[in-house]
Amino acid sequence: MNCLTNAELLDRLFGEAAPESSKETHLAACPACRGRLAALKAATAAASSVQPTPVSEDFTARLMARIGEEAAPARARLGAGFLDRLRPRELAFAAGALALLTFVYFKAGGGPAERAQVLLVMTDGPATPAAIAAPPSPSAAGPDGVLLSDFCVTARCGL
Amino acid sequence: MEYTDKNGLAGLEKALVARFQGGDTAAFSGLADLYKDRLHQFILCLLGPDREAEDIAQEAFVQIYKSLPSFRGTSGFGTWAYAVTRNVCRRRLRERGRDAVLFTEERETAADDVPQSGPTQELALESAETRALIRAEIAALSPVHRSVIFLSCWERLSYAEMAEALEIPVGTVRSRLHNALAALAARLKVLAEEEKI
Repeated sequence: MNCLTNAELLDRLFGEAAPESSKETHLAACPACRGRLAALKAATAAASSVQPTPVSEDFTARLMARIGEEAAPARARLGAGFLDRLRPRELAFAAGALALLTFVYFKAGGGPAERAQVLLVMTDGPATPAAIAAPPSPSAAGPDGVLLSDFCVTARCGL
Repeated sequence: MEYTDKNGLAGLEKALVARFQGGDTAAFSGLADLYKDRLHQFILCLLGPDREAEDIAQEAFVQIYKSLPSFRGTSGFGTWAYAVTRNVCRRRLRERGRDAVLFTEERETAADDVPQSGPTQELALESAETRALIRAEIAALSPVHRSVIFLSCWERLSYAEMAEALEIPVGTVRSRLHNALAALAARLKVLAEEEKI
């Protein structure tokens, strides 16, 4: 039988191909092929024994700082790019629409303070028509600032 | 260097990549810690001793960071990272006005040119002096040979993975790897005959 090819020797060394009995028989009987395989094995073992050249200890910290620096201008560019795309007339229209919406919101009594007060009204008891119709009394506000309806104050205090 | 727990490493990589792609950008520092020495060594294999190797490694990681959101995981993270790093090295060489063909399309050595024998005795691989000599012999090989030796002997990549990282056919991987190991074996044989190792 012919000697093993370079590729066959390499496949055998790295386990990339299943061993064939005819080739194994040849290898056992051929000192030249065994010598070639031993040389490749020795080189592989030698190369595997070498340690890599390490990077500086602060490599990752410097990298993450660099990424942070490069990502921030990218984000700024993204925002600027959106505004740049708007023409002056479109920009003026958007500003006007925003001003109009703000005016309507406050005119309708939707200011932040009033809205917060409404949200803090709690009703533990049943939502009877009488309880809903009775406006909450500011004097009923507890020390935590929570405003309870008259019905709830009565129910809690047992009066 | 050899990474014996390849499966465990692959699992950790996958988890870190998934976290990053899910929005946890801090997970990238974990990937950097896993790969910083390896990409740096790969760069040294491609370019040889280079004062800017660490800076090039940083540039490669920045590129990986930018491209990772679109990484689909059809190949391993490492294989993909090596391909990105190789392209960064090629770009750096072009910027320096050097011929990037140096490590991409070097003339393949014909198998007949390669000596077919190596050292006849066991090498004292545990000796720091022997390892330093081996390192010098690997450094003296061509970039093409150094890079396939790194990917096969240290990273334990398969032929298919090496082909993907180096963007060459599997058949070329085989011939390059054989020629690289044979060239190293011949150098080691000379050292052994001179009783240096």
